[in-house]
Amino acid sequence: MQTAPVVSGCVKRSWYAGFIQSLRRNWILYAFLVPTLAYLIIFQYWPLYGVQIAFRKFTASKGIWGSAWVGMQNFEKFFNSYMFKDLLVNTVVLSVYQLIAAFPFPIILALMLNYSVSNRLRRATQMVTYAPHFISTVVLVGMMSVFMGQTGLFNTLLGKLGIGPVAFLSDSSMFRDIYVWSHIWQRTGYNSVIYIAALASVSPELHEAAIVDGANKLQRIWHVDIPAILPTAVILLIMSTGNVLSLGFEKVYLMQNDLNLNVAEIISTYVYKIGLLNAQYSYSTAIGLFNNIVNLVILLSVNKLADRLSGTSLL
Amino acid sequence: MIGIRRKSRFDRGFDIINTFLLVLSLLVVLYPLYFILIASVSDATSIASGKVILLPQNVSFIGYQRILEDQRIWTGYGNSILYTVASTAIGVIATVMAGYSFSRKDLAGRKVLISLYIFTMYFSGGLIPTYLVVKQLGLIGSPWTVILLGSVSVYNIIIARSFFASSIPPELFEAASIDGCGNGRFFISIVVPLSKSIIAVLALYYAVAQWNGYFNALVYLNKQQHYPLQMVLREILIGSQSIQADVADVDAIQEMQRIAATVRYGVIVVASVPMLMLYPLVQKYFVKGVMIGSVKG
Amino acid sequence: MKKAMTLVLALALSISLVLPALAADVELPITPEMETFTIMIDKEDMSQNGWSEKECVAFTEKQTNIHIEWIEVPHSGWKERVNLTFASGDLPDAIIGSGVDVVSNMDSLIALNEYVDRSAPNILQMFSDIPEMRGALTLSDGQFYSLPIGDADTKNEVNTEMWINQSWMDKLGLNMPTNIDEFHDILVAFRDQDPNGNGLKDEIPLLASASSGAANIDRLFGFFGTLDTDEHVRVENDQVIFTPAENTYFQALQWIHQLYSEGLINQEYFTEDYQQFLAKGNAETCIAGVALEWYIDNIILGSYVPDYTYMPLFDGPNGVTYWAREKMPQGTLNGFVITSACKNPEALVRWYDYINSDLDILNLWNYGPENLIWRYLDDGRWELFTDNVPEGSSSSQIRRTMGTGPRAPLYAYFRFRGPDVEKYADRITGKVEANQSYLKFAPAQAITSGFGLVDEEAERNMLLVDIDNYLTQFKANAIVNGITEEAWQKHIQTLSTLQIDEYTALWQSFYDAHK
Repeated sequence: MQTAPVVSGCVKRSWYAGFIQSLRRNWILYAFLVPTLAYLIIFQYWPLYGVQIAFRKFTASKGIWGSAWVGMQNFEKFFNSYMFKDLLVNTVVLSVYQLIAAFPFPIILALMLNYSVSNRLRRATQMVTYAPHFISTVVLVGMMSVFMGQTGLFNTLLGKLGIGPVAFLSDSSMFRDIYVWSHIWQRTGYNSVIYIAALASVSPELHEAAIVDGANKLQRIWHVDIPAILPTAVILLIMSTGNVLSLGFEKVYLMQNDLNLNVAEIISTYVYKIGLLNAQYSYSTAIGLFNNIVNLVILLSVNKLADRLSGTSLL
Repeated sequence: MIGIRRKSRFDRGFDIINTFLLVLSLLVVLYPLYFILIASVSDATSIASGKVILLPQNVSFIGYQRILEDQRIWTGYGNSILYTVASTAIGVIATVMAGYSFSRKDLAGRKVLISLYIFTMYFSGGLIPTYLVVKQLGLIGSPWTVILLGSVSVYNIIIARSFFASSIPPELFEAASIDGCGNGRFFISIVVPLSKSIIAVLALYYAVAQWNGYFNALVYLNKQQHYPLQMVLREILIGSQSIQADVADVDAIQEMQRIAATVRYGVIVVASVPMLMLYPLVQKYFVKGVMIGSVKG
Repeated sequence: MKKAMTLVLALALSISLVLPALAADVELPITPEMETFTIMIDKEDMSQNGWSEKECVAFTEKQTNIHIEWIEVPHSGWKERVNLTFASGDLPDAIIGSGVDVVSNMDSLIALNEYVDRSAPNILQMFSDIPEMRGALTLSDGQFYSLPIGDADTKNEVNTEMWINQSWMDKLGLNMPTNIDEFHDILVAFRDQDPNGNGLKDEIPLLASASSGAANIDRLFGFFGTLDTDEHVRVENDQVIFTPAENTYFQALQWIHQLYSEGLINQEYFTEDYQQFLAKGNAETCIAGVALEWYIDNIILGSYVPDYTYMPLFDGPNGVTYWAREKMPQGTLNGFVITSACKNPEALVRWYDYINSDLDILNLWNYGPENLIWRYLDDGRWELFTDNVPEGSSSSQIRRTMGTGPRAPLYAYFRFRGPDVEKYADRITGKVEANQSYLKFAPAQAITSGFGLVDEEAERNMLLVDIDNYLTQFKANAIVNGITEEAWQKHIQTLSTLQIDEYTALWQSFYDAHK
């Protein structure tokens, strides 16, 4: 026990010395960080002081510092509110559904492209599948009504088969499916690029060795390719779990209608409505803060878990 | 030996199924885009009655004509291009610099710093405090706000970091520094020329986000003449829904409704084409550029 | 629209543009030197130019010496921007548009009593023309902080009527309904007997849309002696009643569900946007039997309009039918506010007063230069006309581009428009009659326009968010899937967790204060 402080002091000194040394030698690298760091300090860290309005009763005329403290009142109000359970369930279900359903597709597409026998087909498919990524959300949701409205193309075609019309957009039980599968349609091609890159870096010798061993293509995928792209997959999964409660609000907001609100009201859309449209800033900030904290906890736990299981982590 | 080895029957089956699935995914993604394109040159009635499926019907360019005649679209286009180019240039330079620094294992305090960066991806002060900050900087109403606010993405910095970590081996710098090459010169004369692909990727990411974004413009801009294209599009698309009835105006409203139904598709095309054209230009760098995660961060 | 606009501009130059004469009772200029003010404006989507380019703005500046820097906010982001503006304290001198939360932002606004009483003869005249106006504008501290804007036209007191296809009824030998069962039977006949004669079952017996306030089926609740308004309350014997908890509301839901499930209401009612709804009515083949709208020709192709007439109301199964009228006094009462950032509020009050001083200047703002889309008649009245509207444009668009449209510092009440001073276009006569006929069914007592107490309004709005959220889905679900007695009981329980008693009490206190 006697030696412990000495050791830690030693560590501390060397850390400090190392830092000074690094600063002297690599000052230019620190200078490289200045623009982004300045940006983050100004536009991300500086506004963080505003989070305190979650604990205040914010009134515009008194400003942030002048509004009265109310402690946890806004949080209690949220936890006890009629909307709380629905919001939480809707957000988590939609998010997890998307996370799980959308996860394998880019990998499968990347593998399919990798094993394509025709170069032209590969190039064409790659070109076409990334395209939807560049479409804005407003346009994507506009396209949904073009295709899935009551008089949309799907129903016209189904009608010719004597089926329907199917109320794709108004049946609340279909909302989640449409949300997730439109995401898959839009992002699979683009997200697969990362895996294509990872697959390209698999050394050809590994494949040749597998072929010599008499492995068929499926076995090669399983034993050579999958292990090679696993770290990439894990990192991406971690990064998306950190966003489990903060689904982009825009797409959900635009997809909402009277009939699907029971599944389509999620935390971020509710925060928007309460905060910006109804000017309940403190309440909406409290909800947003709750949301952030849950996200951060999930992110850190998943990160730790992944680190332990596969040795891959974000930090 | 391997080259002349005959494919097993299993692999042949695999190839057939694989080709079939590839063609299928190609069509599934392509068709909706194709439909928008043919709908944009078909007349609204044919679309509504489901006649437009494989080919345009009653070809008419009235939709495009209306779009091209609207002065707001041109101003919006100009602004969007300006904002996208400026924001992308700033973003790419800043991101490459930060990404490279973070890729250097000899940068003391790097874990703490990167955590500071990553924290902001998941935690923010919210719109009102941000608005107050922008106000204190005197940037409300200035196009610079829109340019700056889209110009740094931590996600992109992480991608750049992973790229450099895997493509610029530490030995390279060690060798260069023995020859008396400092960090600055090494970055300019060695790192940057080797990073064409990541620069292409970052430029694409930043450009797409800026081009498709409208929220910052909505919140921070004051003048019609500063609006980017997406905001003008919203105005046109949503505006055509919220027409309120005016006395003595009925036939015109109906005429406009019919046109609006066609303009809708043309507008989608007009808004999406620039970004779709950008990709083929950078595609050859693309796969090489996206190496995130292929090494441990 | 560039070509169309150039055309209009050329027209505007070629027609002898008559700019307004000076109004007699307004002292001009307002400020001896040119003074600049910043005004945030709720920009109409159809306006194709900036506010500084508008003729009325330039003219008014010349007359008054008041220069305006406009902050133009697109309507789709208006609420967000206004709230942010107040929350951040980054205030312009004035805000003009579709409503500012005057009560909760009272501290950031300037009371206007003093200035109006001292130097705004036209505002004072409006107050004496509409006696309840001043009271409606006044807040709990006895001061008023806003001035009304918009078109307040007497023919719009009932904003929506039911329009029925008379020629279909004649063809099928039907008579105007006198109770809801007959009404139902007519809808069934429209559905089954192919009144448009094209051999297809494409008729929509009752055409409505949730995307539009005017085309909403909420008004059908009135047949059962209840109402479904935005506030979800009605008033009877000075008592405020929360209508979605009334048994009559349950009856109405069941009936509307019946209509919906029998295919008598368009099945896309809840999901289609306004444009898709309009496309239905505007189809080449006439498919609408009964339509809910401000006026039938808003949605029906011009050539079919003569087929329609308004459907007179009748008493419902509970012996009474209610049809909500617009809140009185009409207009956007919180449409024009001056903020504490303004150094010279009196000048802006006088500026508003000047724009509302006579028809010439008011219409220059509201509709653009005289003889473009509006003109005087020989008998001294004025009318709107469409002769100059070029193809590919519309008078709505010209109005909002060459003028400002109604979201502007103007209040067009009966002094400036309506049957006494304005000649309605022929097509509007049906609307005027329908409005009169439906007005008889407006409840005797109702919540009026006006402002409550700060805390009460905040609390009420807060409660309303969740109530609205719940009711929207509840109602939609009940109408589409039907509702059982059990589900209704559960609904009543849910309502109590949404604190409707407190909510209703807050409205009661509002009503009592404004009675």
